[in-house]
Amino acid sequence: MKIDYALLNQYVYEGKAPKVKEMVQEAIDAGIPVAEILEEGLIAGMSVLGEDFKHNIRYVPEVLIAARAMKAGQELLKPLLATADVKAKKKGVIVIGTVKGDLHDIGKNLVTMMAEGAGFEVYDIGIDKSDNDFVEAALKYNADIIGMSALLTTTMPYMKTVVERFKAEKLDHIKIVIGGAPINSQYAKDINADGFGPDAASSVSLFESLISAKAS
Amino acid sequence: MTNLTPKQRTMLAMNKQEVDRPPIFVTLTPQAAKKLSDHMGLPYEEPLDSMLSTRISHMDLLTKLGNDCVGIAGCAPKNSPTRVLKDNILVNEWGMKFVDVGIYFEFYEYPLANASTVEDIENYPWPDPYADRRFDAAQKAIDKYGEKYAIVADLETAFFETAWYMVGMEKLLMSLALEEEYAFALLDKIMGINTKIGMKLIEMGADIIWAGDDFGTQRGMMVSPDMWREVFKPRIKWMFEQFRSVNPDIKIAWHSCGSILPIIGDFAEIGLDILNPIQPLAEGMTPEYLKENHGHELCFFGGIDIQHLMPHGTVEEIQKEVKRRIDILGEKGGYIIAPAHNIQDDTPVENILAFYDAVKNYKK
Ligand code: B12
Repeated sequence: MKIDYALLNQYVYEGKAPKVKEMVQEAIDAGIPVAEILEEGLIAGMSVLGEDFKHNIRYVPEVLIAARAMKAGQELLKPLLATADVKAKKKGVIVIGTVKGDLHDIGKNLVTMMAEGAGFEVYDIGIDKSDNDFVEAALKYNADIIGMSALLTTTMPYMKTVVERFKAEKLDHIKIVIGGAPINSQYAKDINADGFGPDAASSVSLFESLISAKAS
Repeated sequence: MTNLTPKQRTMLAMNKQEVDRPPIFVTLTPQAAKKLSDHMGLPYEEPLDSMLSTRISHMDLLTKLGNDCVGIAGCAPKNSPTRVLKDNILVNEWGMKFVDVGIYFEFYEYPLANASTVEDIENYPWPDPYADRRFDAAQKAIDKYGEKYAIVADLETAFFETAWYMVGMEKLLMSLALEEEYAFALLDKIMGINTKIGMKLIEMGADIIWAGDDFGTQRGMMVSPDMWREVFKPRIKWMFEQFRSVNPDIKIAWHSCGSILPIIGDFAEIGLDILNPIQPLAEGMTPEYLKENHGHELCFFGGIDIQHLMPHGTVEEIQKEVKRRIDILGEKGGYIIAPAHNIQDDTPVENILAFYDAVKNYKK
């Protein structure tokens, strides 16, 4: 049996969760390798949406329902991916949160969804997070990357506190990436963060390049 | 022209008459108000109990500094003031729970987080727009300032934002995309309540009604222009009609943060007079573009950056930017100058005073 990945991608893009589930189940039943279903069927659809979101062709509501559809498909694949003989490439572990004093979380959530959609293991620790919270989560989940979000000029200086804390704890092997409305790449440099993500799709590319730089 | 009262200056400008300098309407977070009060040797005025408190509080301080406008709004009524539940958790009359994290409040619980049917919306104990003492503070402000200052009735978080404060933002955005019926019932319910509050404030003598909901982000619209035109535009049009049925001459302002270029023309089409806050660093929201393309149909209100200029700029940079903004947006009237949001705790007193001085000393 051949799976129509173009159609499955389209269902992910349109956020049609029941259709996505149906097609993923068919593919599983037909014995298609789960890694392939994930890559070609789900991740590919989500990455097109990420690009369109970046260019204001699709907007926040559409991304949210697409992420939900993608998740519905992933849920079916998860138990199979965990079994030993199917070794899907695990891309890396990200811990993400919004910094202390700040409650803006839509951007952070979209980055989380896109990164999960791209195959990363992401732990979203929520809003109003302290340096302790970030360090604890980083150790607990053995993070490769920390993502911090701040939407306010009053809360963004706290990112520096967190970066310094990671240095003080000698956790230099963990890359720190930041984002949010008032942030730019200059600010990331100023506080010694490892990168800045202007939007969800670019952030995923950034995560990927940091992981591959680390591997080599 | 030098003897204009603040009210005359504001209303002339909003009728696109040339004035000595644009009227000013700054608003502050409580921390910024505290610092400024201390600096001016004035007693600190506690914020009023309203979801819109930053827009209607500290008016003594602000008029002394040079504001031409005074904000009013519906406040929590006598029988359901905002209450402290435990620790730092507060609950307001809508049932929204917040946690006090120091300099800000954050959402703690959305009262209708599990709503899924129209009945869930209908059965909820909604606030009564005409509840006892809701308009007391507004009346007091009108009595005190109404003769001399332009009275701006604040109705931001008109219905989209209040709706997601009830159910959560992601839930509402998804439900709108999936066209779930409860979501539209929710918008309509809240719009009904807030429109009544707005109409009452207009009846009491407001010169301007400042409604709003955020449809923009730093990089573009939050929802698609198509969804906006289908879901929000007809509802906002209806609100504007209700406002004008009370006073046909009322000036209507709309607040939306962020970049909203695709829908500005739509707003003008349904009868908007004044666009706020022209967030300068949001993509595309440049004063030249706005004045050139929409200056014939809209007045502008805002335009001073608070993401870089006010907190981190120098006094000279503020002076230069104020002049540039007035030259462009204020040409032939049509401009209320203001920061693009409440001035935050990170902005030095010196910069706030520099802003006022620069506007007051404006020369072409
Ligand atoms: C929605 C909103 C709110 C909502 C937040 C709801 C929520 N659950 O998030 C509410 C109404 C609660 C709110 C509250 C406040 N807000 Co507000 N808010 C906004 C608004 C309109 C949009 C933000 C948004 O959701 N964007 C959509 C998402 C998709 O975009 P994004 O967050 O930028 O994320 C993208 C990128 O930045 C990046 N990214 C984001 N995070 C991360 C993290 C990583 C690791 C990476 C790699 C990338 C990345 O990728 C994302 C996806 O593409 C902005 C306007 C603006 N220009 O941004 C103001 C804005 C941020 N708010 C502002 C203010 C002032 C406030 C308040 C302080 C108001 C007040 N009381 O005075 C409060 C703060 C309360 C608090 N404790 O935080 C100001 C900030 C000004 C300043 N000096 O910094 C802004 C800029 C508006 C303005 N007119 O100036 N706000």
